[in-house]
Parts: sequence; C-alpha cells; structure tokens
Amino acid sequence: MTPIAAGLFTCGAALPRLIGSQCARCGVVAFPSQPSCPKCTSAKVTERLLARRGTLWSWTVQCFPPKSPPYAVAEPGAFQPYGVGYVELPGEVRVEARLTEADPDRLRIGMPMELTLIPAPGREPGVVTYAFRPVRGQE
Amino acid sequence: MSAEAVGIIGAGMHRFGRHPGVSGLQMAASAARAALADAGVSWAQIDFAAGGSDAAGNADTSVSLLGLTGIPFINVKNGCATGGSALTTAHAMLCAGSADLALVVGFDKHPPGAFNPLPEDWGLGAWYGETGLMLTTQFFALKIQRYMSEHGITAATLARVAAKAFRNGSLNPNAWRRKPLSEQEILASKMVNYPLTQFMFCSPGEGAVALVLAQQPQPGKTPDPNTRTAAESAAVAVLSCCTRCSVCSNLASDLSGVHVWL
Repeated sequence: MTPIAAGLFTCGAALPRLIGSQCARCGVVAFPSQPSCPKCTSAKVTERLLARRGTLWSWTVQCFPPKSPPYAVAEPGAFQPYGVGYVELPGEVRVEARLTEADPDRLRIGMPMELTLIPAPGREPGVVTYAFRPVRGQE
Repeated sequence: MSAEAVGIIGAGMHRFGRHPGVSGLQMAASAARAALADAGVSWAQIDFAAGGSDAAGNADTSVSLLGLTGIPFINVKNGCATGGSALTTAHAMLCAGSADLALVVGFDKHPPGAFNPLPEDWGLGAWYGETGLMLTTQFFALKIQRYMSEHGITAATLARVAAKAFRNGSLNPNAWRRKPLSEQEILASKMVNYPLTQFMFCSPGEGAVALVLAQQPQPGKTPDPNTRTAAESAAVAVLSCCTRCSVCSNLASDLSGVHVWL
C-alpha cells in the first residue's frame, strides 16, 4: 500500500496511525503535523502518533459529486455518496476524515470510531487514504 | 479624522440573478454609477476606491468603464468577506485622512454549482481535495449538525429559517431568489450535504453593490440611526447574495462602527 501523501499516516505491517505534531511548550496537538504550534506559536514541536480510536464529533454525507479538480474522480456518473466527519481523539485533536459509513441512520454524534485505510478515490490500486469506521459491536 | 466623522453617503446595486452576456465588471460599474448618483457626487470627485470579486476579475479594471481619473484603487480578494474588507479598507483610509471621498464595490459572477477551490491555494495538500474534503457545503453541514445536536434544533427549524429568507427575497426586486418557498418544498429539495438540502444554501450567483463613503456629512444630511438599516443591507449584499450565512451576519455587526448619512 502507498499513502496518498507523505507524512499523513503510517502505513506498514502494523495498524495505521495518523501522524500529528505536539507542541513541546503548551502541549497542543495538531493534525496534519506542522512545524510550529497553532496555539502558542512555539517552533518546538515533536511528531506524535495519534490515538486510533475516538468519537464522532459531527458528521455529514456528501451527496453530490465534487467538481474535479480538486476531486480526483472526474466521472460524476460513477459517484457514490460518502460520509465525512470530525472525529474527536480524546485529549488530542479533532480530525476531519472520510467515513466508511454513508447511511445517515447509522451515524450519530458520540459513537465510537476507529482509524482505517481506504482506497484513495480516483487513484491507481494500492494508493490509500485514511478514514474512520464505526467500532464494531459498539454501534 | 475620527471614525465619528466618516460615513456612508450613497448606496447602489445591480440586481442579483443570472445575467448572461453581462460581465461582473459591467455589473460593478452599474452599481458604482447608482451609488454615485445616490450620493450626489461624480466619479471624478472620488479620490480612493477599493473593491473585489471572487470569480469575476479585478475591481480596479472597472476604471476603464467609469473613467480614467487616476485614483488609487485597491483590489481585495478575501472570500466571502471581500466586500466587507473593501469597506473596512476605505473606512480606514478616510479615518486616516488619506482620502476625502471613497467608493467601495463588491461584485461577482459565479458559475452554477458548488465552489471548487484548490487546496494548494489554502495551505493544504492536494490530497485534501483529491479525497473529497474540500467543500464549503460539507463544512456548513458539519457545523450545523453539531449545533443542532447541542441545541436541540431540528431540520424543520432550518427550513423555517430558509423560508423566511426566501419570503424576504420575494419582497426585494434586487434579490437573487425572488420566489417564496414553503418549508415543505425546502425540506423536500435535493439533499446536498446531510442535513442541509439545496434550498437551505445560498447558491452562488451574480450581482454587484457599491457604496460611497465621505469624511464629512453632506450638507443637509446628518447621521440618523433610523436610516441605517437600508445601507447596512446594501453593505451586507456587497459580499454575498443573501443574508443567511454567519459571514454576512458578522459583517452586519462589524458595520456597527460605520455611520450612515443617507
């Protein structure tokens, strides 16, 4: 598997992790990682692998095909609605992500979610991006 | 020059809608002429201008339509806040004593459908747009979904807000949407980003608004809080096609420091 972009998430034999950054001065966590702190402006930040599980803070379903560019899929006819959410990683940061679930009846704020990888839209086989899926058995 | 001595003395508008064959700059010039006429001043008297659009070109090129008077003209490109930022710029110039009479113009001519900004222009990686996350409609839906959960609001409430806006639009000959829609029609329209349907959004459109600002009240015109609403509405329309979104509401409150002498 090949990540859609370098530095976003780990992608190997182990379970994937998002790559964030944490301020050495005030502790604020950011994703994607950045070279300075968005809160206190300190340039002393370190890489931090983020928690794999969190809760759904908000969600929507993308019901129309986004224009391409910037969307990678240029054939609107093949479009399938997809879920998008903000997942709150406890004590870390809220992450915007694709969701594996697109049924409004199966999404609710506060439900437990975990990180997974999905095929990157419109890309060659093997290229993946990150997404969150409902934690099985706890829906 | 104190902010107390600076105010809006004229407002003009090119109606919103779809105007095939009319460029954004032509609409801007039309709104500018209407504002100048409303203020009772000529383009040649204006000694500073600021304005902009998101998708319809550079405001300063409207001088080829209005006249090559040689005035400094600052182009603003600041998303939904373009009109408001242009107004703030002109207000500051007058307060600083760097100009006596200023024109502000906001205009646009958006193609139909959602915006498709490029993530690279917004400090984001290309992956963000490629994976389908670069959509303003998504952002609004995620925000309202959380807000509804925290405050116990239902989709019926959203439909009531939209119906109110359409009802207001039906009363304004310059409005983009002039047909009243029922709450049922709004709820039954195409789902765009759950829970927001097509008619809960202000769709991108076309139009222009201009304001004239002066350092001193014109003879016979005094600051009147009762006349402020009309100019505030015009000023709000500088940047958008409706008054439903939070950006416009924020601008309306920002304008509380700007006097209106109409």
